[in-house]
Amino acid sequence: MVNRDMIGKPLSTFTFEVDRSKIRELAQAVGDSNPIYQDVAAAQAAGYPDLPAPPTFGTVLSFWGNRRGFITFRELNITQPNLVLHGEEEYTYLAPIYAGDVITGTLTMTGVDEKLGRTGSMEFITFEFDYTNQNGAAVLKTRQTAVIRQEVAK
Amino acid sequence: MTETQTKLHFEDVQVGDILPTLTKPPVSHNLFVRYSGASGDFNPLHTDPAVGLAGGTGGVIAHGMLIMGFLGHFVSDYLGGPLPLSRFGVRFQSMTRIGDVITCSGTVTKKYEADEAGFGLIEVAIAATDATGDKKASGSFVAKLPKRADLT
Repeated sequence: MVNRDMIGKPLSTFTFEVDRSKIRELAQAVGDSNPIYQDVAAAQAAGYPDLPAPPTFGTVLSFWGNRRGFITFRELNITQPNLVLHGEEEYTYLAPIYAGDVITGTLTMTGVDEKLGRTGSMEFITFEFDYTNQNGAAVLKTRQTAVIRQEVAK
Repeated sequence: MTETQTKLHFEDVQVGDILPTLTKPPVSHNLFVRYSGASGDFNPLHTDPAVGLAGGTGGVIAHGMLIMGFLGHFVSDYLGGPLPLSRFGVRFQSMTRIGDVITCSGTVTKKYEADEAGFGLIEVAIAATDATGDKKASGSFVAKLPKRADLT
């Protein structure tokens, strides 16, 4: 069972320098060849000060930024990452993120629900990440639901 | 004034509009490894077939966020870039396995006024589906689009 004492408490605070290479690499991995994500001159010609973060860049912030991910799982008593599935993801965009920004993130577990699924009992955990930039401006909020299966599917 | 860097205007979009679909090449084990490196999500469920088998998923499965990344590409293409986005959310509905061909689709469901003068908001229902019609993820996005200057 997930440790419910941790609900509402910040689990991790971290800082991530948004580097051009990580923007390029994410865009390449999802197959988006738009030059605004690859080439600074193309981004600037399109009106951006530098490479803009692609829509799902929050995932890079949450994993490369929050290097305590698996430690946090253990602290929450989630011992088998291979039983964790991703249920939902929602981004609220508050201000642009560009290469060169220094982003600070805070991770909070906001809720735990238990439900009975096809493969037995499952826990639905909601996590929220709040991100601000080097000027203190809120840039992104992400809300994520993880589904923890209690046993291997038959 | 908000910077949006888009050529798409509020007046160009109507409720019921169907977005141009985006079909991705078949997903591969290699792509899952690549996406692990790009995103930093090294859960072995996506990279190690033995762990996938032991976890009951029948081998490696795609990261949900890879599929949402495909949808992000689709949305960014439609909007001409990422900045018009104000909200983007999906629910993951089934697992994506090696060889699946993912198509992203969307339909405009709402248009309404933004708080900021000179802008309007559109809401679009989106989905990522494989070649058999199995829905991998679905959800919606809201984007803030500039209105054309009133020339009358």
